Amino acid sequence: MASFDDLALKYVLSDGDDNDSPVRAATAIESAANRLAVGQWVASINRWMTSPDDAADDDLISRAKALEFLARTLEFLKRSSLKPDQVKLLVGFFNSLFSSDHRAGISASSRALKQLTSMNGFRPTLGSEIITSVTKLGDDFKRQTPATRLEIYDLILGLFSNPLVAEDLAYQHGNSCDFMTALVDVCRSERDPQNLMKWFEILRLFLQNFSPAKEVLTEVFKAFSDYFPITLRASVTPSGITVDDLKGAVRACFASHYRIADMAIPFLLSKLDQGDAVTVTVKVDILLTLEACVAQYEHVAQGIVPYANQIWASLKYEVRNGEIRDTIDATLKAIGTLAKRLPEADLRTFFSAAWRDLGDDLSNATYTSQAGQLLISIAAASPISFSLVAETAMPHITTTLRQTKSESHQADILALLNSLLQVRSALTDVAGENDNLKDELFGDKLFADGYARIWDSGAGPHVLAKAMDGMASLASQRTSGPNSQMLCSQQVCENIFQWLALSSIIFPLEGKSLVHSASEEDSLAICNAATTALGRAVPLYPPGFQRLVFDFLSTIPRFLENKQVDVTDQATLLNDVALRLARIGCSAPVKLGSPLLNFVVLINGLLQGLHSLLKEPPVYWIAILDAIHVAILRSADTLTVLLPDEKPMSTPGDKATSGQQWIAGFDKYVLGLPRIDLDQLGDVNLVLKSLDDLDGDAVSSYKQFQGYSIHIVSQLYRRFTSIKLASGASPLMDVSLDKLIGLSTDFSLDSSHEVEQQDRFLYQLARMATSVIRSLSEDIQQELELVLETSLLFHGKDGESESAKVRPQVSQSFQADNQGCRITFSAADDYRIAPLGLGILQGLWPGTLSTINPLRTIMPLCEILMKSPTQCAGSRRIALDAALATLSNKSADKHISDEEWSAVLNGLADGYTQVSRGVATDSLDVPTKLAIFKSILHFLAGDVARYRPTSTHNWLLRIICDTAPSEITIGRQLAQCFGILVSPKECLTKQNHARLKPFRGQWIYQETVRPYFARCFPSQSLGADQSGQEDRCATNQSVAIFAVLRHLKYNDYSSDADQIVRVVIRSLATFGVSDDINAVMTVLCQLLEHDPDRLKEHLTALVTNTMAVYKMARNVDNSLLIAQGPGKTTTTRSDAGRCRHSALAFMRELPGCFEPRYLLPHRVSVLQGLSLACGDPVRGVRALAISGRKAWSNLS
Amino acid sequence: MDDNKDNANPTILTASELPTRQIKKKKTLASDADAKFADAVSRRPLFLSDPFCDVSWSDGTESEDDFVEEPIDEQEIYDLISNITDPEHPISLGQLAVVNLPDVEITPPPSTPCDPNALRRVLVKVTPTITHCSLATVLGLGVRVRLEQALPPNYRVDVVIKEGSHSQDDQVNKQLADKERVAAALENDTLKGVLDKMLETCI
Repeated sequence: MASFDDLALKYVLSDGDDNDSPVRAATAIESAANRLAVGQWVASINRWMTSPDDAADDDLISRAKALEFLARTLEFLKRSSLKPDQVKLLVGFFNSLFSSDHRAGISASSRALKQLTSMNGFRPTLGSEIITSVTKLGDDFKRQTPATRLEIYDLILGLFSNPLVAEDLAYQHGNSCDFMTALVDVCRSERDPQNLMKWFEILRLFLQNFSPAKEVLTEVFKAFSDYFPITLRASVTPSGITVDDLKGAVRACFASHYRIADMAIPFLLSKLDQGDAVTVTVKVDILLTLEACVAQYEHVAQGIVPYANQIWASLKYEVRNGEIRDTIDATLKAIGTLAKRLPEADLRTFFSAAWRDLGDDLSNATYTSQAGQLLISIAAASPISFSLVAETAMPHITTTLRQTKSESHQADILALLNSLLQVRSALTDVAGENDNLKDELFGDKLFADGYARIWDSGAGPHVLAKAMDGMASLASQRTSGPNSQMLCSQQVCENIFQWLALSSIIFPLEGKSLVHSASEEDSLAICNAATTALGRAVPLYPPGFQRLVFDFLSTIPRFLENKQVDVTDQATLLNDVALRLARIGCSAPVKLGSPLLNFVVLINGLLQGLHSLLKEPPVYWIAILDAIHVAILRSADTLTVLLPDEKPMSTPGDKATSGQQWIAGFDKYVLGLPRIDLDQLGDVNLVLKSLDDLDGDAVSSYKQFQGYSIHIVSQLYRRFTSIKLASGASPLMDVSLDKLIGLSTDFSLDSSHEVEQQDRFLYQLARMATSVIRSLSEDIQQELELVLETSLLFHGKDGESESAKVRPQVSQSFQADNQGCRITFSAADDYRIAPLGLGILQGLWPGTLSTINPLRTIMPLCEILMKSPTQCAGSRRIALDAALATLSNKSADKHISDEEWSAVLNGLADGYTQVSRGVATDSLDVPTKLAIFKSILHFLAGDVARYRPTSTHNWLLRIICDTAPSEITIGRQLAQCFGILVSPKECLTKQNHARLKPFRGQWIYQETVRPYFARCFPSQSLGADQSGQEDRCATNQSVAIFAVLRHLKYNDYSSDADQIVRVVIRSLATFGVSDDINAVMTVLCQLLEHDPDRLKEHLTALVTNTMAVYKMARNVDNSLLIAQGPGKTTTTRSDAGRCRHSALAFMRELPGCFEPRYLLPHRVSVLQGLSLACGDPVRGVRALAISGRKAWSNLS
Repeated sequence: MDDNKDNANPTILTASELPTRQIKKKKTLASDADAKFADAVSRRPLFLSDPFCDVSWSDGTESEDDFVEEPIDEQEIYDLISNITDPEHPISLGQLAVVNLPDVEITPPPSTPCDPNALRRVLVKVTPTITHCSLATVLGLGVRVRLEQALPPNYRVDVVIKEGSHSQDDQVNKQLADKERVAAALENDTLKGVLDKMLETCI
């Protein structure tokens, strides 16, 4: 083993940190385990320790390094290796360096001593010696490097944190604490942020753990208060310490012990009272420090009480005359803390002094708001302070409210009252049984003296809004003490709700306003204030909400009498008010009783409303239905928040849990629910009673609500559809399943507009079904037999009606031969109810659909869609198309063999043959052909979203991509439809559980775009006849490509961007004015956004062609203007407008993407074009032209 | 600083007091949360929004993204110039009531149908905040430059000081109408700097 001398030499000669030598030295000491080894180890550095004072610089470095060797060895030494006397000797040695070797020995000594203080053999009495020796550094302390000083601070901090050392120091030095005075002297002018953090910590520990004499306290206080307010200069080498860290450390010193209160508080207040000389940041720092002192001084009687009045006298002005929010907030926080800390008797004295100022200020309109804030900060401190404030202030507040004539003064007083009520509500929750929150001042008396008076006084909207806010808070107050009840009498609560209902529900429906001659905005503001107020109050007072829903329903007949307003506007109004109800009732669960209470009350009420409107135009039905849908979404949202975090609610594996039975039959547990399919409006009291008996835990409530939602959806489905049985037909015979279910008698066929609205209603109903059904787990969907409901639309499920008899037969027919059930879309009423089936189908998990026989479902659907002529057109056809996409996407692979899949594809391929057959034998018209083609593409869209890379599955896609664009007559129209493959569809979203593969975008690109770039350019070697046709095919191919690309992400096609740019340039010149150009411009803008460099070479062609597109679209517009006259807008004109918009949007972006030198050659011509574009007939296009012109003219 | 300003304490209108185009009446829902739910429910279904879907969805929201044709009218001219910043205060000319909607005039009026390329004249009357405003010419010049940059070539722009609103309105009007002096002014770097600053806030 190498000797200690060698190890020391090796360490001294090493350049960087050599861990090896200290580790080996430490091991050697431990293994030798005798005194000799320690002696040898210390002696190993002797050769560097001679004549320290006259040493040359080189010796200095070696000596420092040698001492460091000792310190590092100690780091690696076991804590038990040294005996107490060895520790003592070593401490003595290193201590001596503080007096003898200020240049080389300090850093290493501090490190070594720190290690020694943590040795088992360290005796607390040595602490005092160490500190004394450190103080011997004197003025040389500040000449040490910051890193060395940090070592010393660490050493001292370690000693102060050791309770035994602290105890010994206190014992040895008594209250004179002379070691501290010396230390403060040495460390006085510290500037380094890291060191300061340690120094403040040392001071804090000293103040907390020692009981020094007054003189020492003064010294120590001066040591940190001199730094206040502390700032931090920006440094080139940031230390990692922020100014907030420093502020926090100084603040901790101020708040460390009440013994310094007599210096700290007057010091802080004197700083605060300097007035304008203090900046906002400093002021906030002072206030937060003061707050920390008040909050943390332990001895209230000595540390806080003597200064309470002094604090108030200084701080009140910060709020009274303050303008800066931060300062005011910090002041209020400090005063609140003060009120919280004071014992009751002192609080009383303090408040009576404060009230002398506050009382006067409350009567003065200028200072009411500020005085209110101060009052609230005191009141909110504790139940005792609240009761004190309420007792003194309430009579004064109500009197002032009565006497003042100024509206702003009234509003300020009301704001104060509202805050007091909110504080009271918060305190009621935390107050003990013996706390008195002055119930007598806040109940009916406040209503009568305050709010009722204001309400009757004809005040303005601003004041009314505040009053409504306050009344809602008042209605939800509870009594203090044991057996807490509603504070206000029932009559007052009802009165309040009636007034709020008038403002938010009844008057808006009747087209009146609460305040005569109020502007539209004011009326809206009042209405919104009432809605917000009600939203806060109803969870605490559910009877009020029941009353509100009742008022809404009883106003509907009066609302319908107003025939002067347009029906659509009326419906919007009805929807708006119903949505307000949803906002009031569904934003929060009720506090006591079933959380579902308000939700069920509202949705039942809306169902009743819908029932009463069934003789009115369907636009009203939509208004109510949308509100029901929003109410369901909102309620579910509110209940989801209450759920425990760990459980996601709708996953396929969600097994049956508690409360499942409610989903299947909510109406068995809750009685009295309305059934509008049976014309029963339900019994509210029965509902309320049954709801009270339900489980109230969060998971059960959520399940209950899901059950309720299904109950609502199913009865609406039954109401608006009916089973069509020929008169006298037996349900067991003569039932044509294809036309079994049709529209109910609620649908009349009066006008085409009405039919359109009815269809829209059906769509909205279907959408509601989707959002309810998709939230259910797969198991529950299966249990509810929702696959079957896609065909049966919930008919016969209730077991009561006539249709119940049909259900078993039909369900058997659907599930014949054990081959899995099938889904049928009823052909009755020209497929008008197809959207309803889609509504259910869309929300199902793929697993739920595994019970169907895909072939028996998809094939008939394809037949319907491929048939010509077809009854199924317009929106119903689109619903069937979406159903086809859903089925092709969600059908399980394992349930459909490759042969069966081919059979389906063959069926579709036959349809495609009809579409692509040549003109001569053609029997179909173009719209029918396109409709069939779109259906095929919908099927493929569902399939490609979860693509399978085998040719068995994709041959039809390939044929279509290969041949459709080159169709001679309708190739372009077919090409335009290619977008359907990738366009966003609700049925193919994650939300609706569609199967979407992550790389589908790239796959589709590889299959439908990439192979066809070459076809986008006509070949050069053809004759004139052929070249015309070739040209057309190339254009059609480009149209198909851009129809797909516009829906893909840039990353999907970025690898071929250069190719695409070339196609873009040709397409700009060949597409003409059409929506196809917009697809091109969308792709072009994507290229520009992600990789402008690709466009750099082609700028001339792009700029010229885009400006040409704009010009062409403008000319088309002008010629249409001449042909049709002004004012007539047609699809073509809006197409042209869109073209111009997209062209200019691209032009505008160019200057931001390229250096001017690339664009300057085009500047003049583009500016010319853009200045003409400033006169575009469409305002939005003009705006683009103006901003584009600005960007281009700034080029230089 | 304030002492150097012609009018250190002008009357300022709030944004709500300025004339705006009447936007189509929207639903009165106030909070964002409402909008979130209501949008999810009442927006047109995606499958009816496919590019080639010809089914109408008449819920009154359709025309929002339509490219409706509307001629350049007085309000549009006002919108172009009302957000120019005042050279003295960081406030717009609209808020200072230097430009006002009734003081914008288009001839022939935009409501009369005529050839889109026919010559039209826009007359804007500027009202300085005080009668001895030394910056009246700069204000007029700013309005003029902005309109020339934002209107098509068949619009002729005239800017004058409103009668009786300035002690030397004749002289200022003469300067603003003199094409050569306007051109010369725009060559002056200092003046160009002031104008650029004024027009910075124009969208």
